[in-house]
Amino acid sequence: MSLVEARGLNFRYPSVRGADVWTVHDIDLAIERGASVGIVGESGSGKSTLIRILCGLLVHQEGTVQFDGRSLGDWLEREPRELRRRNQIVFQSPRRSLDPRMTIRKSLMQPVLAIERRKPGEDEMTGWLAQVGLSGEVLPRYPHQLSGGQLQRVGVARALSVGPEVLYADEPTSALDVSVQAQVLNLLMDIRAELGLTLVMVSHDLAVISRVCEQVIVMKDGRIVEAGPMTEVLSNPSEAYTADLIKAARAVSLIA
Amino acid sequence: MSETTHLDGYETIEPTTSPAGGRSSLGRMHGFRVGKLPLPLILGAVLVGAFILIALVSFVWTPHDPTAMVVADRLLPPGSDGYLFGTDKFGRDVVSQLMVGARNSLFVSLLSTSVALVIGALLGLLTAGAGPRWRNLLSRLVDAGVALPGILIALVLATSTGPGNRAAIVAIIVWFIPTVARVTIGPARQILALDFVEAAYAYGRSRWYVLLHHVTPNIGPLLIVLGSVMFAAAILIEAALAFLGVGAQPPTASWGRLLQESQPLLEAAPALMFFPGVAIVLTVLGFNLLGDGLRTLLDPQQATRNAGLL
Amino acid sequence: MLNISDLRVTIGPHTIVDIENLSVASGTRLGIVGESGSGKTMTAMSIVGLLPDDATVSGSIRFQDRELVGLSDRRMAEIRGRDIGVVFQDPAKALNPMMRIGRQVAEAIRLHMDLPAAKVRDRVVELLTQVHLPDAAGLLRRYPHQLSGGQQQRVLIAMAIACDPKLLIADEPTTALDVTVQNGILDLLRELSEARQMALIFVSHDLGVIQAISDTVAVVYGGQLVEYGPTARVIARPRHRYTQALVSANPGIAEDSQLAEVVNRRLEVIPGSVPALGAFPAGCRFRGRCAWEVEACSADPVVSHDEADHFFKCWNPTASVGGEKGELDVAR
Repeated sequence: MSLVEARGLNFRYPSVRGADVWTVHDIDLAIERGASVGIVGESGSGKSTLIRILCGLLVHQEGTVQFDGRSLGDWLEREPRELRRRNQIVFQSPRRSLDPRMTIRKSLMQPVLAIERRKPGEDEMTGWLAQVGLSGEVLPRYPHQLSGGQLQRVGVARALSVGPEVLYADEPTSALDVSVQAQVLNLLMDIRAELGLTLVMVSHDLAVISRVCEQVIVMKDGRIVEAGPMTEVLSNPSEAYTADLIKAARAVSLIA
Repeated sequence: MSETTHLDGYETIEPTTSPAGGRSSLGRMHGFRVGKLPLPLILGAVLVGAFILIALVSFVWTPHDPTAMVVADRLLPPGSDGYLFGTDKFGRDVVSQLMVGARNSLFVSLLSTSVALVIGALLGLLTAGAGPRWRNLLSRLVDAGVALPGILIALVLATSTGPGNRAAIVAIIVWFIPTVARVTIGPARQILALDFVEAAYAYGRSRWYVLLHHVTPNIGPLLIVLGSVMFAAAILIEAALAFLGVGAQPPTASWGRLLQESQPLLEAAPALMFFPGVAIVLTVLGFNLLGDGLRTLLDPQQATRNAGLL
Repeated sequence: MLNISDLRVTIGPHTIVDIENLSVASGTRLGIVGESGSGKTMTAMSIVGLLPDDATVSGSIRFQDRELVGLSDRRMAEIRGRDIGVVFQDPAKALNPMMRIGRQVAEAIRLHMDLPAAKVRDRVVELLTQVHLPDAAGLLRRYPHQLSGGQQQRVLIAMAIACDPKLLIADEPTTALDVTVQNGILDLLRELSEARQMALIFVSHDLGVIQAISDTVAVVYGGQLVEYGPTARVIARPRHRYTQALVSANPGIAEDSQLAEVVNRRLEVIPGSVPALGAFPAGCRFRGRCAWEVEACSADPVVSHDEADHFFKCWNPTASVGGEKGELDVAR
């Protein structure tokens, strides 16, 4: 039994009209516990929307999504906090993902406050920060006083604070410098190895996916066009679209 | 894919996208320096401070009883013995009346502005946070409200409930609420579209929690600036309503009424019109300068830009 | 065509840019690379005077026999847009959302060229066609939000080249775009620079992009030029340790046979982050983050040459082809 499973998933935003216009269309996927899955596609391919559905931030209209053997609807109805605890998400823009008027301390304690209904201690928070390579010195600071790389680490620490099983990451490095990107990718690989997390990462950059994810899902216009083990998909793409993406990423790769 | 890269180091000075470059170092929300306060803010604060002080002092002391009519001292010119600004046609002291009038202005404006601010902001937040259908409906209602002619509402209210401060207050509140809501909706929706709001949903916060704990603090500076500008408008409206006879009624002193009473005596005693006029101008100017200064200091756009939000 | 010498940009007590020598010839493409906060954008923007109000500039920037340092804002504004085009990072922010595409491009033309109204429209269509936007005539009546990010960036490029500039400065023009769209923009910029003999200065934090667009690269750190040379050579054989670190931080897609090997393998990182303004160490600015630091690094590095056209400023550089360290160019 896979940890996350979707069957015949269809989703559209409430503002979208038209019976057959889906933002995410006809999605079947299964994510095993402990896997690292990369979802790649261009803007508007529905990749970010898809992970928001999988982690319960958006509610799909058709099809089923199961987490740990139970449907998301069931989770949200009966144990929403437990679902949130076990599924956390890291966002693209480190600056936008922290409230500019809250100190790092306040932002960092939010998930535990909301999910476990208790206030985490100072030592506990320092421990979370240590896990992502930051010191407790950042706690009293405001987001604008930190660099993008530091903020993204805080975002990861916040997501990890409730001990999730699946960590979703929506373009976690595309707002960062290449040098900072390497740091954040290393962090994601480290914590996955250390905590046995399932990692689902969305990116428009196949190069990034190729370094971090063992499985890859290629999306286009709301549909999955190709999926499989990363090495197979990249070395032997069965779709012309995938080949195009690989070619584009190779053009700006320093290795190939 | 819209976020851009302005991260470490020089970010406050490196013009990443805007050719305008050179951002002001003011406008930082945290730890701004007192030594660099903008001049309008200081001027505004002095004028507003004087206005509030005079209004408060009038409770405990005025040079004369503002309602005492001394027939012998009617229409004394400014500078007369014991009457700095002279007396009116009933022999009442102008300084004392102005002081009590300031009290009335402060009372009406403070009450109406704060109530309008709270209700309007709540309405705006509710609209911004609602689903698309409700949001559209409420937005239209707010737009319609903004389009209503406020002065007419006030006149209608006054004729139906009777003139007085209460009518003025209710009128100003009804007049201002749609404006506050309208101004709130846009920025609130911008904040709601940010990732930290989604993060809050992801750890199980409710929409109301997000509206009150994330959106409100972020649009707070905007509301403060709006409040000070509305305060100035409320003072003008209060005076206007009193002048038209639908606001404060005798014996309550009001700057607007002082103006109205001085009208027939324009030639005989022009000073009677001059002093309340100047009082209104200075106070309104004070609040506008204060609002302007606060905008520079607290500019939420600046703060969000610092945070890379816009 | 463009010659920069002893350029210093200071803000208050801090030196943001300190460049001894940098030149760009007609039709060539220079990449300026560095992390955020390295001063790369400031270096490029000082050419067109787009600096913060409190910045002071000294030294010399000669452009087509004209000195740009010290020009009044008005004169600079004349040159900018006419002789030097500028493209910014975020196309969505650089276009006026309330103005139709046709009018925005027309403005860019009218500002610097005296064309009859009838000709302006033709010129706009011609420009939009040159940047390979399909249905240029139909595009005139569209608003920016109706275009994709890549299309918006093409419109901005069309505006920047409206007056046939001799130099185009592009500041991270593809950072906000998808990889696939990015490559289209890179191809376009290369094509325009070749067809028009237009020099290009391309600023980016990503050496992968620099490699795809530029023939010469200038690596900037702490406002200083730390390495300069032919792009292919510098990337294949970086001499400065900072350049080396930037090269290895680039993820890239490995050869097919290597894919399984590199997945989950940690990337090489540059430790720490770019110091805040004024917090760079004395001597080599990269000190404190460099894994190859030696005692000499506390002194200001001098310029070493590898080949005539490849130089760097590092006390402990990577080995050269012959295995020996680059010779110090004491004459400088």
